[in-house]
Amino acid sequence: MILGSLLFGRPVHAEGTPEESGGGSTPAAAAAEKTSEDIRAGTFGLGLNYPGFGVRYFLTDHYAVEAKGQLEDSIELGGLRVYRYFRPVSRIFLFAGAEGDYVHFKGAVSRGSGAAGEIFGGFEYFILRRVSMQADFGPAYISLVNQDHSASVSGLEYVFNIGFNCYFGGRSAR
Amino acid sequence: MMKAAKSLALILAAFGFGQVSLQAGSLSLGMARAVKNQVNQLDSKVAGAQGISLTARASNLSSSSRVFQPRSTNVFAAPSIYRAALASCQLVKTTSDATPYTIFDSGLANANVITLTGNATGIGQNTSYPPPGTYLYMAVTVLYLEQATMINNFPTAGSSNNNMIFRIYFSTLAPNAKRDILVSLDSGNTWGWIATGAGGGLPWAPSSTKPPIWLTQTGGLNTTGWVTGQGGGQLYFQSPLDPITFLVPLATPLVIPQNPTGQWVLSMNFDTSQSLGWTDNNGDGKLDSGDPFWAEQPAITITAVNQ
Repeated sequence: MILGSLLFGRPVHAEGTPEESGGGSTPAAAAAEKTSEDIRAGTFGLGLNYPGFGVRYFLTDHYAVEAKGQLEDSIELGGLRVYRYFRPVSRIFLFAGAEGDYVHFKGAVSRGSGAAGEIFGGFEYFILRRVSMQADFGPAYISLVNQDHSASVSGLEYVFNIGFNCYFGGRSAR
Repeated sequence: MMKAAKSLALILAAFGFGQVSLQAGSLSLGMARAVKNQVNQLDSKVAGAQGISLTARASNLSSSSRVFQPRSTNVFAAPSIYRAALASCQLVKTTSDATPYTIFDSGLANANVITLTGNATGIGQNTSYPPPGTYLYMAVTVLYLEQATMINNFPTAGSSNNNMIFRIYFSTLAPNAKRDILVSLDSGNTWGWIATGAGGGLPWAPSSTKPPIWLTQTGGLNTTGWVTGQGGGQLYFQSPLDPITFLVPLATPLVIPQNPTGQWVLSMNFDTSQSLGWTDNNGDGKLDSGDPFWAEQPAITITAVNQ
C-alpha cells in the first residue's frame, strides 16, 4: 500500500507550487526547481557507483533505466535498473526501483554464474545542477551455481549502494 | 529535509526494513560485495564437499533438433527433448563387482526423471567416499528413455510435421513392461502402443531386424540378445533381464586413494545426435508408413574430476 502510493504518487515535475517542492523563494528551492527542469525525459546520465559504473536514460520525466556494471574480486556483474522518481524535495530526488543482474564469478574454489535481483529505494542529492550523489538501499536475492553444477547457493542480502551521477542532454531549462 | 527523511523512512518501511530480521542476509556496500558474500558461501560448500557427485547433460540437442541427416538409405532425427528416467547409478570396479558404490538408488517406482539439456544438471550425490580402489564402470539402471522428435509425414495425423514423443521402457514398471515402445502425439498426455497393423494403433511396425541397440552391456547382454515378440497384437522387443542395468565405461578410471579429499564430480553426457533412425524405403526423407524404424544408441561418456 505504502509502496504503491509512493510509486504512483505525484510526479517529479508536478504542477506543484514552489512551496510543495521544498520552499518558496529560498536558494535551495530555486536550485531544486532548476534541477528538476534539467532532469527530464531524454536526459542521459553517466554514473560511478561502488564498485562500477552505469549509464542512465530518462524515458519519461519520472522513469529512468540504467545499464550498470560492477567488478570486484573476480566478480563481474552486469544488469539493468529501472527507476521511478518522485517529486524533488529541496535538492533531493527520491526514487524507488528494481534491478536485475547477470553474475559471473570466480571464488577460491568455485566458479560459475548466476543472477541477482533487488528492489530498492533511495535518493539523489544534487550538489550541482547536473551533478548528484546517490544512495539507495534494498533487499537483494542472489542465486549462484558452480560451473559443474555440483553445488549452488542462493540467499537474501541487503545492499547499500552509493554513487555519483553527471547528467547531459534532455530538455532545456525553461 | 525532514520531509525527505520521512519519505525515505516510508520507502524503507515499504521494503520491510525494520520488520525483517537482518539475520536473513548481511548488509553489503554494492551488489558486487553482496555477490561476494554468496560466493564465499559457495566456496565453503564446494570446499567442504566430499564424496561423489553426479551430473548429466546432453549434447547435439539444439544443433541437430528437427534436422534429418541422410546416411545411405537410413535417416536419423535428433530429438528436441530428451529425458532419461534412471532408477540408480553405481560405481563398480569390475563387471562382476559384488559390492558396488551407490551414488543414488531411488528405485524404479521413484526413478529420477532427468530432462537433459546442454547444461549439466546435478542428479545424485553420495557424501561418503567409495572404498579405495580403481573404478572402471558406472552401472546405470534405466527405467525408460524418452525423446520428442519432429517427424515429417506422420501417417495418422494427416499433417506434414508432427512432434512425436517416444518412450522406450527398459525395465518393467506396471503397466509398462520392459522393451515397451510407446508413442504420444499430444505432448505425453496419452500414450499408445506401436502396433503391427490396422486396429492395433499406428500403422508402423518396429523393425524386426534393427532392435534398439542403445548401450552395450558389458559381459552380458548385447544387441544380439534382443528379440522381438508378439503379445496382445503388439510387436515388442524383449530382453531376458529386468530391470536392465547397463555398465558404462568411465572415460578414465576413477582412482580413489586411501585418504580421499574433496569431491569427485562425475559428468555424464548423452550425445543424442542420432537417437531415432529409420530406413527410408522410398527415399523421400520422411518417415512413411511401413518404414522400419529403431532407436539409435545415444553415445554416453562419463568423466570424473576431483575438486
